[in-house]
Amino acid sequence: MPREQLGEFEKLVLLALLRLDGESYGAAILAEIEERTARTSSSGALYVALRRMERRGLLTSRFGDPTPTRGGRAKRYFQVEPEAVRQLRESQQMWTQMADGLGDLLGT
Amino acid sequence: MLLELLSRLLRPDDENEIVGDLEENYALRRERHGPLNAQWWLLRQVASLPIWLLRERSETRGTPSSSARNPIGDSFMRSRSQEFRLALRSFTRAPGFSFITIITLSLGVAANTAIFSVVDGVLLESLPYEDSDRLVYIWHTAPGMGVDRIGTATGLQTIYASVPTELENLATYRTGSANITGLGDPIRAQAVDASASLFEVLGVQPALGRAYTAEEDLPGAPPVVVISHGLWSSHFASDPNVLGRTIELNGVTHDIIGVMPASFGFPSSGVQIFTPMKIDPQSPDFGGFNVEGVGRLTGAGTAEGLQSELTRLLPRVTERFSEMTTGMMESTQLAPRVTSLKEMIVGPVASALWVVMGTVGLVLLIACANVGNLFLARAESRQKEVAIRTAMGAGRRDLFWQYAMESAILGVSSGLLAIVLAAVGLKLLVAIAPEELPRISEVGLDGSVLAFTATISLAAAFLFGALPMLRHTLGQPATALRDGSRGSTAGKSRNRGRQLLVASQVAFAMVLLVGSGLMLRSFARLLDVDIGFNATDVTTFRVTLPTQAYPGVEAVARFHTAALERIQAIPGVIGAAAVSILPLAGADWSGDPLNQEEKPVGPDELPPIIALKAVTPSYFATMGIPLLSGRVIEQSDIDDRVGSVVINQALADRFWPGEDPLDRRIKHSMPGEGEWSTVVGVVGNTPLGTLTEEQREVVYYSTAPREGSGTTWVSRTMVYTVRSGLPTSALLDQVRAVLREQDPNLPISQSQLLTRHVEAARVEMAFTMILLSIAAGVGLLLGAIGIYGVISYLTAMRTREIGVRMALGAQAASVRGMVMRQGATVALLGVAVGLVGALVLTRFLGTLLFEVSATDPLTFAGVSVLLFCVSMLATYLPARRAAATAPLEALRDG
Repeated sequence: MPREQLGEFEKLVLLALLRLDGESYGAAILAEIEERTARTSSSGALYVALRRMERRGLLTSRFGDPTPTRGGRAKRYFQVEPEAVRQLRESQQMWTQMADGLGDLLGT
Repeated sequence: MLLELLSRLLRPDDENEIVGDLEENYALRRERHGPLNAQWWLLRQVASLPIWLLRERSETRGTPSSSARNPIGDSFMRSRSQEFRLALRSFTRAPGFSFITIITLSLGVAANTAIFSVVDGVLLESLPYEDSDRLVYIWHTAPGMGVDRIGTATGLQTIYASVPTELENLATYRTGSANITGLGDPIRAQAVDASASLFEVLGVQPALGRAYTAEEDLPGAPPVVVISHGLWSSHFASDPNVLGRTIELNGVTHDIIGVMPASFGFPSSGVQIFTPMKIDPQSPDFGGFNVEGVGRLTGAGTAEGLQSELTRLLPRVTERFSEMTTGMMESTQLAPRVTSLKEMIVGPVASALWVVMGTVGLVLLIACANVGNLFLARAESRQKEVAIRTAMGAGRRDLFWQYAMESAILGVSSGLLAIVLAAVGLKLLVAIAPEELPRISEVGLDGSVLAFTATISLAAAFLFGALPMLRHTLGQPATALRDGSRGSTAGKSRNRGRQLLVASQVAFAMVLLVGSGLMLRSFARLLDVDIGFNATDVTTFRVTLPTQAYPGVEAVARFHTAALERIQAIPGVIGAAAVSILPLAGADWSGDPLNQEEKPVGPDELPPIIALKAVTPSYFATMGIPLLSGRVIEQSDIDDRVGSVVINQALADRFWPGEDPLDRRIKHSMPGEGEWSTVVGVVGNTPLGTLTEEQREVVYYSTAPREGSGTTWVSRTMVYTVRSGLPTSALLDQVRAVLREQDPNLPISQSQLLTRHVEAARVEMAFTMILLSIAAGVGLLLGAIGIYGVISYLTAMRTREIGVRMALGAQAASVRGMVMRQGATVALLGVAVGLVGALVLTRFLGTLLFEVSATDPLTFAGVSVLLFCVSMLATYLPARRAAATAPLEALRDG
């Protein structure tokens, strides 16, 4: 069965995680994406993406300690696995190869 | 808050993660961008969750590991959820269509729900008593006396009490009112005298204390009383130690021994006092027909069985009570009747309620026809989509499921909206319903009503949404793909289907309009009925004189004379008088056998029952009732107890047709007893009970009738009628003040404007009429929209054809005419079918109509014309649009 490729949003999530030192939790990931892309993202999409990627082995998760600021609820931390980084690099390579020579058009 | 709800729904892990994250970001946003921004963000985030989580769940099922386990089941689930998403999307993508469809269906369902709640609460649900279907009501007919409905008598009740096989228990009761004093201002309360067995028969016990026993129900026993929950909370501040306290009823001190539960209201919810009836079982008195009887059947007993048994017991009446002879029993044809208690309570309104139910049912059908047409239109515009799906492997079943989902979504959302609308509508309905509507307090949106709503909204959505679509989209996908144009003639049968739908809408609307037209005419006739008196500017209130303080007839009469003098002296009062019973008293009037001196009845006959009232001298003048001959009651008649009476024209016509009734003598009593009174005047007729009955005869006595004339009890309770220009509350304050001077312990009660009393006599018919008219109006509107929609659509289908015609020289007028002819055909068909339907159905209006026949030609003709004109108007707009088509465009676009 052909390996599933990374979706657009999934890439954003992975990049955000990497910016957050490779490990973070939902709220921070969402905040990071919203800040850097200047667009509100959907919580629903985020949690679904996180679960999907975990299922595919691209992420692992663990629960942290409960903190009072979250009403006593624990945070769920996601960590980027090497496989995810490998897929990101592959996707970046594909992009670079296809975009070669289209710099003016793409504004890069 | 929202997050609370979310926490409850999620698994603990998810809750920690997701709700925690949301809270964190919410707090952050709130700091940075303000509470409004934060709340809006939160709302959107929460809204995004279910959609995504649903998606995810459906996709996890499709993963390789799970489908290896159960391939068929999973693909079923996957495609079901796919159908659901498709169905949901088809609604969200066509918001205009969805909105109209949902609104139309919800309105129809809401109306039905509201009316069904009333029908269910009033007619269908059993009475709130234990085993209530074994409760029966006992009454009598006496056709020989000209009476077809009369209560029962204490003498009869003592005989009936022993019928072991059919009757488990029997109770006798009498409703009335009592003056309560000693609790601050004197109050007039609705009171019931009942035998001790009443509580057992109904199967209810006081919430506090106890009911009275059979010993306390004997003459001479110490006075005790059971009070209602309402009285306990309003005048005793719900004191838990109320037992043992006393109240004065009509001047007699009674011990309070019990308080009834809040939900108890027999025979109506306003009764506040229950006292023992104290019937003497040994008494040789037969008693008057002024009490009512209820009983509880044995397990095997039936109403019919009990009725036969009671009939067989009748001969014992003559054995025990010497005043009743066998001959008298035969000539009056007295016979007992037993009906279920529920029937007695709700019977009178049943037919009206069912008519209204049928009416909203028709409105729902009209709405459904609109929904059907809307779905048909959608089906056509989706042909391409359907063709593609079919070509890509969607089977009949998948399509069926998609449409089933769409119906389900439509049904559920309409149902939910309908419940909200019905709740509002029900509140309004209960607020404007006539007070006499029994059991109205038991009406509400309970389980059976909600089940009803769910059933009809889902059924309607499916029958009118999915089925038509299925039929029309299961044609060949290939042709649909190839020829996606609108000009195809392949839709002939489809168009006919739509035309039939619209014609049926018109037919239903016709039935509704005829029905409400007939009701409108009945009501107009009702308004025309001459009430025979002038009700404007008259305030009425009731005064009852207790026996203790006013022991005899003269004391009573003196009170009324003095009170009226004082009231007349109030500045602004034009006239003041009193009468024992107002006109239009409903069922509250009383009558006795009336003997005519010149025409005595035979030895074994009873004279006819004629109504009697007591009046003060200025009554006829104050009420504006014309004096036709002779004179009215005068003060000297009262002072000297001369025994003068005034009769109305109806009695003069009945007893002395073509003759002069003045100076003739009559008496209200059993033959051979009592003293004669002399007729001194004849006055105009006024309706005795209701506006729709025939004129009845009335005899007016003075407040102090002749000794022995048998009517001396009449003036103890009088309704005062005061004509003045003063505002009512100011007048009543003054009246209370002057009456307090005369007797500080006497309350006045039931004050209202006489005009309101007259309106109340019309209210039941008015209520039904208003409901029917609203339904008819809504039906007409929906029908017009339906016609407009279908004709527009059909015309749009023929755009190419119209373009060709116009290019070939057809005039705008002829194009218009062509379209309107199409509309006219549909309308005429609808009107014709509707006419037949109306002819058949309006007979069910039966007793609701007044002086109008159920097949009144004027109404039928008028409504047909109206409906036809409205249909033509609805056709005219599309016709004009068609005629304005530029031929070139039509040819190009078609």
